[in-house]
Amino acid sequence: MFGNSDIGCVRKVNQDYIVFEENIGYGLVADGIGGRPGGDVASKLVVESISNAVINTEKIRFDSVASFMVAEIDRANMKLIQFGEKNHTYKGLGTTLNFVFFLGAHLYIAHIGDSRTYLFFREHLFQMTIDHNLGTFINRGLISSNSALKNSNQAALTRAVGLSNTVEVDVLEKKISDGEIYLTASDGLFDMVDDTVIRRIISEYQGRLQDLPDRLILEAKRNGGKDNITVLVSRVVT
Amino acid sequence: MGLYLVRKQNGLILGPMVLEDLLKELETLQVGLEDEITGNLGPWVSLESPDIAAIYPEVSVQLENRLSWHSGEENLFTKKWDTKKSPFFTNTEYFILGIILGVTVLAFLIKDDINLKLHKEGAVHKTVSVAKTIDELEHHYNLGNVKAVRVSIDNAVSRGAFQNDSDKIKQLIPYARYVAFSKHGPEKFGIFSSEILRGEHSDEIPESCSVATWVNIFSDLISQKSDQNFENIVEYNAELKVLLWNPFWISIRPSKGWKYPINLHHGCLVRALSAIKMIKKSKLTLNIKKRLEHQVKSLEKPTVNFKDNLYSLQKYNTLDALTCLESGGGRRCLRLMKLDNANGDFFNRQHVMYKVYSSLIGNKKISDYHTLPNKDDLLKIDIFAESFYLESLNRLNNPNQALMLLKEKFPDLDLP
Repeated sequence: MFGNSDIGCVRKVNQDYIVFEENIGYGLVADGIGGRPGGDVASKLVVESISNAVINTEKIRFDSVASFMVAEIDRANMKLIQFGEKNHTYKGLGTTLNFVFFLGAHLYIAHIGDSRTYLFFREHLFQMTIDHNLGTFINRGLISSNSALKNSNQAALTRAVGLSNTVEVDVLEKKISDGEIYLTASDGLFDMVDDTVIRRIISEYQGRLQDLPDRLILEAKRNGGKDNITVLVSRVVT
Repeated sequence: MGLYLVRKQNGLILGPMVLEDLLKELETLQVGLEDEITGNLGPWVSLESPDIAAIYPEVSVQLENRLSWHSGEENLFTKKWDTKKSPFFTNTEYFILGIILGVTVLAFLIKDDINLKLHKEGAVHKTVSVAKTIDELEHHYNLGNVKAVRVSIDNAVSRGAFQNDSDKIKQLIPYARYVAFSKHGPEKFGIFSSEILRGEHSDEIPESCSVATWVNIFSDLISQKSDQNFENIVEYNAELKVLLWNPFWISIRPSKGWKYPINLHHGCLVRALSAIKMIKKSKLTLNIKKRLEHQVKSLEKPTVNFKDNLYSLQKYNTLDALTCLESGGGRRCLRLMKLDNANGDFFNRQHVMYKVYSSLIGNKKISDYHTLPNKDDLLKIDIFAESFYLESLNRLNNPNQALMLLKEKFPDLDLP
């Protein structure tokens, strides 16, 4: 696993946060919600809460992985809300989250918000997660489109950690295969770099994945770097 | 062969798998029509959605073939063909495969007519043509086939797939620029005006970077009877300041929406080089051509070996001095140049800048540094320091102060 985070070219604070541990096989990428105070606090709080739980858990049953992930995200959500209530300056703080967990022959992804996890395999690039934003929800018919929503910011988040007492998390499970490369990133990457370019760069850097996060961050910055950029790369080796 | 992922309702992801395996999963009910699929760079769509015909037509055709065999409650997923009832076929699988292949070939042959008809009826999904067109363009671009890229763009635009959709048209622009800035490329073509191809204005770039404009500029130079020293001619031909551009600095200019050239700065030099090759040779134009070749080559093939470059170092020559410094010539370039006060600061800045490069890349002294590093290595390591230094320099216009700030910000660098 290789990863990095960058403030980008425009923002004054990095509200993204990343933690990963190859030996355990997990990674967390969070993007604090801008426009609300404390995005950087939110991303860090959530990631560290979950990370501590993973590190300190003695064992997880294979059939309980998804529920473990959801439970820890739920716990982190409550911590975030309570933090906001105690510190009024940060009331309403929130963050997206992509939590990837490799356990045995499976990958589990817990996803909320508009950060993404992609799969690269044999020159194909698949976006595994579905963005939890207004535009995507309207397109998928999960929200009915009316004139008010049509004029709203289509990138507005419909789900995030810290927005409400209950979190609706997408949990994906996949059997992994040798040679698969997973890319988890905040929107600072794919809002600046087209998926076709991401695919090409991953293809070029297959032999030196340790350089891939920085290369993708550089590409995002060359295109303007309007947001913080965080990239986590995981390769499956069996 | 295309691969697909399947997302089941419970969040289980299957694949990647080829189409045939997907169909087998459907037959064995491991996958249902309510499940979603995604292909390379494509969206998720349910197998039972009407959108699948437009987004993944190859899948839709196969689904229709399989599902159209059913009568009543039975279909190929539930019914086994009884070959004993058929006197003509002895192997069920070959029979089914033959029908599927025949329909697929027929569909492939008439798909353009179908698309044309649907287009006339206003029913063409633009997402199909966009994704496939971009894939096709990327393939031709990677092969270096400018003509094929142009044909693909012309076809896509004439098919109307991108019509009235400026967001989708924007995806074509990098490829259109590739065509426009190629050898003998057009200033504009089709729906792409020269303004679109040029992109955002930047103060240091000449108003026009067309080949015709450069031909005029260079032709005028030859006809001028005044002293053809670079510093004099640039006073009357501000466009020639492009010759002072440092290739590394060009490589970190904005490049969104560009593939080749890497940005408008690079494109401007490419066109200048095309132009200068068209006009009558003189000592000055040969000197300028040599400079342009170095700049363009440094951007396209970033390893430039100083020893291979034959520069006339006996006489004071601004362009050669810059090329010499950029090629790692170091202090010898300065020693052999006769510097007057007007240029002293400029060359000192250049020299310090290259000292920064070598310090960031490793413990090399600039005099040992004979080649420009691989572009990716350079960008990977030093873009922050380089950008910070250049920005400080532009802001303060004082190399010593800029260097002091750089040392504060990057205390681990080996700097003079």
